[in-house]
Amino acid sequence: MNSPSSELTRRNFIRQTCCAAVGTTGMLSALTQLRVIGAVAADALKPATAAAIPADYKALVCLFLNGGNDGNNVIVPYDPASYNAYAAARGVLAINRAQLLPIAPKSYSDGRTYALHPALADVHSLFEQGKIAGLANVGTLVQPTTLAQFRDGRALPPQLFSHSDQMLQWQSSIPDKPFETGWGGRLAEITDALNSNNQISMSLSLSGVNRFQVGKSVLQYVVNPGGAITMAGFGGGGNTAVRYNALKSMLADPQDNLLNGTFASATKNAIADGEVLSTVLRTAPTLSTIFPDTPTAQRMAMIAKLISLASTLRVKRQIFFVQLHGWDLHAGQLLGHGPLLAELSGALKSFYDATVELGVANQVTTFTASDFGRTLNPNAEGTDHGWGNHQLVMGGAVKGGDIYGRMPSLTINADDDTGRGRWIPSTSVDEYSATLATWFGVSASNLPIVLPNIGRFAKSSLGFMS
Amino acid sequence: MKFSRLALLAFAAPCVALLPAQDTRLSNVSVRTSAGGADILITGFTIGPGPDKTVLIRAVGPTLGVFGVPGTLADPKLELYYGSTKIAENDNFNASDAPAFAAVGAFPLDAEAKDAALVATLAPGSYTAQVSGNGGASGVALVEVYEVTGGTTRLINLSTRAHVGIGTGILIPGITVAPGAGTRRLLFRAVGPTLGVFGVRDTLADPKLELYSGTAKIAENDNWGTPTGPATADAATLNAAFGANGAFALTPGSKDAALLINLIAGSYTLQVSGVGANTGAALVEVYDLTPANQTGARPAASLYLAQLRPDSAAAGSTASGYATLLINPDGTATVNVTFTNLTSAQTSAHLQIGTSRDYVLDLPRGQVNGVTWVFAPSGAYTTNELINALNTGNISVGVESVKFPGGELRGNFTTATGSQTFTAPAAPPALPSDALSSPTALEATRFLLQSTFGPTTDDITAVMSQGLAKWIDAQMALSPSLLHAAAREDVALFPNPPPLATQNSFEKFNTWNRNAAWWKIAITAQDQLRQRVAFALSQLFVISGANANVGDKQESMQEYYDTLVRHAFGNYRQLLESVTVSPIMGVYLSHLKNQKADPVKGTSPDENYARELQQLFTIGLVQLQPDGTLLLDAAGKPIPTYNQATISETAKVLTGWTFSIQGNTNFFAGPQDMRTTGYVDSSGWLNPMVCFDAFHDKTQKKIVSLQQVPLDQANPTIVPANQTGPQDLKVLLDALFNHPNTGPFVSKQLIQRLVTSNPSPGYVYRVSQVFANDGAGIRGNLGAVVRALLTDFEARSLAVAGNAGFGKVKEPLLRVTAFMRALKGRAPNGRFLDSWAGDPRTIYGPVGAFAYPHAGFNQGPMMAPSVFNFFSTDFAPPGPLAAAGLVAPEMQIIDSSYALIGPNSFVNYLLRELPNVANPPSPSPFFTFDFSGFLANSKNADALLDQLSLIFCGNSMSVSTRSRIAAALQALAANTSDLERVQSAIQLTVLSPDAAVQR
Repeated sequence: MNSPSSELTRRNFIRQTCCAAVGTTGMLSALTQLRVIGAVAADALKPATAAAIPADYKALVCLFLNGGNDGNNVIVPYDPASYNAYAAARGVLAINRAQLLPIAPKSYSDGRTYALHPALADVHSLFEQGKIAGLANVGTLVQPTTLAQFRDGRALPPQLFSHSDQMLQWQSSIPDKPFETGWGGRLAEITDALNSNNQISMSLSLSGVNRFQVGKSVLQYVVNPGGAITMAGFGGGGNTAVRYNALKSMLADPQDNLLNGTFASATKNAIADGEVLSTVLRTAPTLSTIFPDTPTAQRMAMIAKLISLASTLRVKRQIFFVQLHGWDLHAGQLLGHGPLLAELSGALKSFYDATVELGVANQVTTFTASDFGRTLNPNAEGTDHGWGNHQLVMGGAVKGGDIYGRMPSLTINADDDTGRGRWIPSTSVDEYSATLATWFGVSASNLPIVLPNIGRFAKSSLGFMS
Repeated sequence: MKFSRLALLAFAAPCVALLPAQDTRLSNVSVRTSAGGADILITGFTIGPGPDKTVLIRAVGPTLGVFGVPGTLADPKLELYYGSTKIAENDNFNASDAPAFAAVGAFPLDAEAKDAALVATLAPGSYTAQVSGNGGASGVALVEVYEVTGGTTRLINLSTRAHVGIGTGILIPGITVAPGAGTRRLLFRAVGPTLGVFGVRDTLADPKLELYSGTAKIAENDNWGTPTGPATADAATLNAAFGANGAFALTPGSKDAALLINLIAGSYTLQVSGVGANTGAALVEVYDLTPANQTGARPAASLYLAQLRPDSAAAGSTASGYATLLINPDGTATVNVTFTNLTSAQTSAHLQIGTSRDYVLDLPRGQVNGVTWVFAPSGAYTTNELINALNTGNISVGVESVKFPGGELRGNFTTATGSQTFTAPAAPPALPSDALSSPTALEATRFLLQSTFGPTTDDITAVMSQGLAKWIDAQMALSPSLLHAAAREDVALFPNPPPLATQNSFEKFNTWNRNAAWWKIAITAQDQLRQRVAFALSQLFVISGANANVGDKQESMQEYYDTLVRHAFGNYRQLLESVTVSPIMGVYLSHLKNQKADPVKGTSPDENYARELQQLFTIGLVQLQPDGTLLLDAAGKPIPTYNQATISETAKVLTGWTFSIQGNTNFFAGPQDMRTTGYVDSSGWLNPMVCFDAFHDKTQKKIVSLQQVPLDQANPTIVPANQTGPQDLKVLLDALFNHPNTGPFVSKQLIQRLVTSNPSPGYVYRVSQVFANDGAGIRGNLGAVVRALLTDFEARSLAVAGNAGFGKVKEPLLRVTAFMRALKGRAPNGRFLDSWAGDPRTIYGPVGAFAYPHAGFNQGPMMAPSVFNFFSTDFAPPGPLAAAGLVAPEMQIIDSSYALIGPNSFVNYLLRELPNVANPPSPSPFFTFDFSGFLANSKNADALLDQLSLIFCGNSMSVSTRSRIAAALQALAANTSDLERVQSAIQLTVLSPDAAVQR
């Protein structure tokens, strides 16, 4: 990898490195070791009172829909002729037209009108307010690809239609090389310089260790969505610190019995997880925005809390990762898809409201990603793995209320159909990511450091960010 | 002779089909050149360390003609040598070897052709294959070496010595790096001049190497030490590579060629030619230098089993199942998944890895029967990483449904032991003669960890003086302390105040009355052994107040618990029956008011209890050997004990049962609401259920078989037609009681609750034998079983106690009871709850972790999250424990949150100060502890730690823990009070790993 320009300093590298060699070998064990970045004495983090979030702060939130979301039922053709064609192709999975939520994209025009899945009511209203945009037919590409090239088998992302591989390629945005870093990790490295003296990694995950945030020098920190729990009975100075340190030392001592060892490391890790953030989280302002009691919304609530502490954490750039599982609906899609979309919609809405409440709506951008889309043609009552998919981007800085890119033909055997409606993406993950990275602060000349393949594609910005 | 240059890619096709895909490997080398006559073609290969490897060697002549190569060698002959010993040869290939060609991706040979081929299974070492023409003929031949079996042994070197001509006579070897993740580091050499050192004549004077991927040249070398033109490595690096990998040294400054390069999966060709149109003999070699630690992962066991339980997020699911993963001889795995009772339609199923649950293999929907997993690299996970993940308990099965798309069923694979024929484990050594009669303090305290709610100094003294056997006798003779009675006392002494009592039961109990009673018994009752066993039984025969229909029937829950208490040393058969006819169990598992099928309405009997009775209370899902290991069928797979048909039939047995209410003739009636009448007649909720004949299914039913054979061969137990409900129930419970599984199934779980999470098969066997026959011919004598498991060698031996995998993580609740017993925790007003709500006027409003233990410790009596208890008996935290084949069920509820919340809960009490209120109530309702037993040693750290080790750590506090605590005591401020010193020592002790694990 080329050495980045002066935008990156190594200032935080030493403070933040805790594990050697985050490479592909031993990924599992290395990643599970990623823990607290720099244990900090309590008084080093003096929470600024009533601190406002810096005006030049920005946050990116990646909301990964794990399993392959069926975008074909998220943005649905609505005008009668197009709808009928859609319904014919989708069979039992076609959404009832009367229930669809029509949208009026500001500039996108391809001769069709479109609507959103009925479970996306909140997304629909945010779309109409211009805070959410749709990204059409995005997918992993090694280079712009035609159907003939697909059939030739040349220069394709390896292992198309495989969950783990496609998820990896969405998160790395380098499908044609073995995985080393995620684009979120590379983005963090190049923008971390804007965080002067931050004590906590700018890469925070609410859904465990992930590939998106793997970087060489900026390591991800996993946050417990329930907040930080700390060991009680140790509050205060003097004797308390003596006991606390004795306990931590004791838990780090080698154990001769495997059960003792397992217990010791479980407790030790739990303590470490809670330590850094707990001090900080205690000072977080209470938000009046109500978050639904769903796993995704609760994670977004914690993200909102962390954003509110940007001054305390001394960050101007943060990248968050959240994951929602369960989209691999090979069967039962009729009943299964709606609730997942409803959870997504509710989480997005409450999070947007929270950013408004914090006064940073224009500074926080949330974007969805997923392994792949799904086949237009159903199997008996579900769908199978596809390729190009539609995504959603949300934020005050998003030029919302519109669709970007190009919707697929939605026609079996058309020249973007590799079979059963697995669309060749018309927009690559690189272009999607590049638009977000540019907004986040990466200059044009440094874009290839974050997205090495971007030069192969026509656009380095899709224009959905202002 | 003219040769046409062919793309050798056709000869080096990737061969994924049968080779287990793994990290990239050198799988094939072939060389096409002229052979025979004066030009002997010698191919050599080296098999690296490991198990024997099967290789295919071919010398193709005539079939080359199919590809348009003229002048082929008409009848090649192949001879295989080990050193100078010929070990095999072939003239015309055997038809029976043809399948191997396809398996490795080699092009097929004409059936009648005279090409030669050999398949040989060879031990590690160096071999040569010589190709000659029959009758001394010569012509163009292609010699190929393929690895047929993958596995851990690698081909580490292939070489060919041949004549290198000019133009179309140059040597064109091809190699294949099989698909996989990562790269392989390869060394190519074309040796000419240095061959002269070995006595080879007419060597190629100046060999040149060029490496191609398809038609693109990707590397070349002429003169390895002083390259003219590009080079991939300098002389020093090359020398080091030669030396480190057994390649003979090249004469310094010679004109031999060498290339060191990393290659990803694919097919490559080398061109070996002579610079300046020279010709001569040359040796072409390929060495695989990829570091050894990138290969070699092997599954640690041959059988893995995953119990599938509802995912923690799948609230209300009662689905279940199991999955097996069998390692096949070729290193691949066969996966089977059986599951049932999903809440909604299944959407998908996958094999997943780690806590991220990344999908590594998509499974078909429905029951999975024999899916092969080749450990193919997935995403960023290499084959090695996948196998290592399997070995460390990090591979799980996930079954997703419409209602729970994130996963309804889940289970991690752990190693399973099984066999087809049973060999009784060897008897253990004898214990020292006085082990049971004259225990030391250490022996006494660790015994008490297994048999009570926590050691106290009084108990230790008693055990030391009576000996274990007599202590057990005395315990079994005590009258049982009953929960219901204790709860009645609690509510009488401490009436629930109107604003706080929710009056959700007919006797006006609330859950904290029950908990107060439970704590009182756990902390102060004399019949500790019985109570400890009852608590263990409550985790086997689970009912739970987490179910709202159960939680508002506190009296019934208390009565149920007392059933377990009364039967703790009784007979298992009787216990089974009492539990089955318990009305609160009837509510929890929904067989209360279960009716026979109604063809008009189209209803069938509820199957819930039928399923759990078999799966959880008696025989489990798979057939067991008498030692608790798995009984395997002829194919090495576990054998299910029953199927859906059995469940449906069993459900019919359990029909017609309802409340027993005096004078009631209405099947559908419920007990009167006794809230207004007090607890005068609560018989409906407290008495065993009765059966109404009219609602009982009286057809003949085919229920569980007692034969431990595959279900399609098993004869079911027949429940005759026209019997009453109780008669049918007797047949059913007798069958389950007598099933060979029940002894080991129950014995192992009792051992896990009391003594150790990973009993040896021998231990389980010995205790199951006592279950089968207590010595007086009685089967199911729980008292004898408990005595046996506590006095067994494995429970008592100090040598065994020192094993790295012996013991168990203490259940969180039991760490608290031990703490409370040692420190005599209670409120001075006699209650075992803290009643401080901050407002002394509401002094009887209990609060905190003791009123709601399940909130504070993730565990509370009869508050399991589901009928599957707080944790699975086969839970293995992924990591070193799972890698060692060990389980630690209790760790399942000591997650990253409760690892802190639990200790926080009772440490908060330990260290808090009592509230300072005007006119404090007397006696005080605030929880207190008695430190007097320890205060005398407040300034004597050694003596204090001795005490704490004895009471909390089985007298085995480690040297390191001890020194940490001692150092901390030293470091406390000089003016620290005695009380605080003692509290500090206690706090650090109870949070230590030494106190968290019993051994």
